[in-house]
Amino acid sequence: MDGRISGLEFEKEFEKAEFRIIDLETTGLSPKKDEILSIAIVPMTGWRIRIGDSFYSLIKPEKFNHRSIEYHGICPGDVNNAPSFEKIGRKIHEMLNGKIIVGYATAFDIEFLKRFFRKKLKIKLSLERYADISEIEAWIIRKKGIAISYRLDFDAILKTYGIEPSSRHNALSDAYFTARIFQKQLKKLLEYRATISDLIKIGRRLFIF
Amino acid sequence: MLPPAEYLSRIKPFSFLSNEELAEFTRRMEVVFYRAGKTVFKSGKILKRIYFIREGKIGLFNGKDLVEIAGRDEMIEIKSSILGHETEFTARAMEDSVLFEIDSEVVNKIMERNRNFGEFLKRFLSRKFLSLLRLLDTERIEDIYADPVNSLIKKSPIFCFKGQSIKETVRLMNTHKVGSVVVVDSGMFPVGIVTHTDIVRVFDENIPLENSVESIMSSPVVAIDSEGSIMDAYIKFITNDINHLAVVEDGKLTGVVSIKDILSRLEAHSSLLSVSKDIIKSKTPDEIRNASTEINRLILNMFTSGFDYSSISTVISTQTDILIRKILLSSLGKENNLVIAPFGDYGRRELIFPLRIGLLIVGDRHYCREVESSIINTVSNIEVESIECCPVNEIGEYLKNLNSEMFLNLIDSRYLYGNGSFYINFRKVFASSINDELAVSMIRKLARLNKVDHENMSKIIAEGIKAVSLLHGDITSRPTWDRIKILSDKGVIDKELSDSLKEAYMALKNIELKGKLKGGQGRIEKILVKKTSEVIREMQAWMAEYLD
Repeated sequence: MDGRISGLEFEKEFEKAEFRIIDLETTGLSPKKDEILSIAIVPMTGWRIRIGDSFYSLIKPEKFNHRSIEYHGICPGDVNNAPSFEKIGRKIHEMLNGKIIVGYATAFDIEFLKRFFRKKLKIKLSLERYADISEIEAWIIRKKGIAISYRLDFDAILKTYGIEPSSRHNALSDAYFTARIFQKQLKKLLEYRATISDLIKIGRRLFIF
Repeated sequence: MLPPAEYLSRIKPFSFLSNEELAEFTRRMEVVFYRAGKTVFKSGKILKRIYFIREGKIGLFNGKDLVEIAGRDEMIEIKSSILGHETEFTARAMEDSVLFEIDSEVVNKIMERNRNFGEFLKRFLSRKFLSLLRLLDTERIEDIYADPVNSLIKKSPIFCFKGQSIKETVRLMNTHKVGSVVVVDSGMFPVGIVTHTDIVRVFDENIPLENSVESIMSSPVVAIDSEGSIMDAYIKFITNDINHLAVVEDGKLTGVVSIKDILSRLEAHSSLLSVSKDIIKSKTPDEIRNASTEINRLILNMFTSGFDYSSISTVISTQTDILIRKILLSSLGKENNLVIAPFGDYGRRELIFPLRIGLLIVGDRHYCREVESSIINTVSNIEVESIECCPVNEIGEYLKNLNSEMFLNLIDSRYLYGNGSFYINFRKVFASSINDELAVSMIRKLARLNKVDHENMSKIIAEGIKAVSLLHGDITSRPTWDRIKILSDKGVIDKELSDSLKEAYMALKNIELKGKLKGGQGRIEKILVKKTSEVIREMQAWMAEYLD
């Protein structure tokens, strides 16, 4: 990775990068059978979390899986008056299109989004540039020469960076804290002279070394 | 609520904002990460945002010189953000830092709408530190309400068992001079209460005094858990229309509180009156000792009721004067061969808590030992910090040998006890021994002082102002805030600096007092102390210029 571009250029590339931190809440774990119940998007330009431009919405599902309430706390009554995915799909598309998507267990969220766009809006969503903070963290740990074979959970990563979550478990606050973690990971990546394309490889775990 | 709003909602002055206003803030906010060494903004800029440090440390630089380091929960260069001034310093991250950056426009808008929030920032910006502390006083009143009700209990409860007779109960009330007796069962669980009103009914209805108390008591008794708050107790009084409340622990009686107990806790004036009465009525050393311990309670009471340092100090000085006079009267009697005068802080009625006093004695040397030991032996809550002995016939000689600091301390002496003509004579000789050089060297010393910290800041103001007053011919003992006002009225100090000095001094004194009474400093206090050092620097610059 070293020696291709200067340190200053690395920085400039990071400063201009458009990230979208996302978090979904779903009725279950299967993108085929389950549905999205809420979505949060927090825009981040370089080091700046643009919290004021965040987007959050509950989504009315076609079918409600009551067993999932204990994970997300969203009850059928909460989503009765929520818009359908079709209604807010355009806005989501606008916010995410062409941007680098960052999240926790991002591949799973991306799978849900792709499927929903295809099924409900007949749009083929191209979301290839994405990163998972858990993969980034594992890479940083490996860079320090420590072997790691398990998946790092969200709370453990928060703790690593000394971030105290205030009210977790709402998609929007989860996305915000993911962004806070990502800011600090970016700094580490920069120290290792990673570029944006490295970041995506690391974040999707395409980098094996 | 978004996490940044939730975080801010716990911090002054943002805690004054409603949820909607906080939401407005977050809509116009960015959360920005600065790596160590990165510049946040440069000097000479007009900031369009408020910079609030969420974590990390930001250094403020004047060129290459680091002037100040701001940390978590502080705002930097807020004058520029709100008043549109140019930034004085360049801000740079000293370590990796996260800042909340809020659009100034929305902050200004909300300052106009939300009075407390607006006032807080305005007072902070105009360095009205004392009035800013007052704005926070509401908390102290709330604190009292939140205190547990058992803090009101002064003595063990008067109770009787339910099988006892009315006669026994009346005797109990009379012996202990109480207005109510709680009736308990054999397990100490309260089952009823007998008050004066019930006893009046006994006589009116000719109920035999041999009857059991159970037949006339009001039942069930209204009770409160000992850990319940004073506010909870107050609500019980109001909703049940009663005057007495049983206090219980695990259901068992531990005390009784009356509505009077609550009112006296909340009303410092009433306790002030009772302390004065106790002190004035006290004669024997034991009575004086008891009255003097009341003073400690009074200080705390006044403080928690929202009085500020100057009022507390003025009131307590008077009480201390009465007390010292009492002690001297009981040990020396009416003695005419000496005069006793408080000096220093106590002399100008700016008390140091816990009470520490300095006394000047003009008279024979043996009086000094007697006065000191009679005070020490009678009261334990007043420390005699220093006693100055000046022989009646050698005042000039005595003054000549004093170091300059002590000499300036004696400016603040005033008559308290003994032969008044001795004191008049002392002040005459004192006035003629004063020379400007004393004041000049003090001002020079203070202007050059590099070590300015929270421990010596109020002293720098007090001594500097005293020395300048001396140069302007004022050698009367008076509190520093009065001296500042006089110098300002005379045009010696310009209005802006004198206002800042007065606010800074009073704020420091209040913060010192709070630290002594409650221990520690809150976040706002720490910030104010830091900001006060700016005022001290200005005062030092002014003093240096003044001498030129």
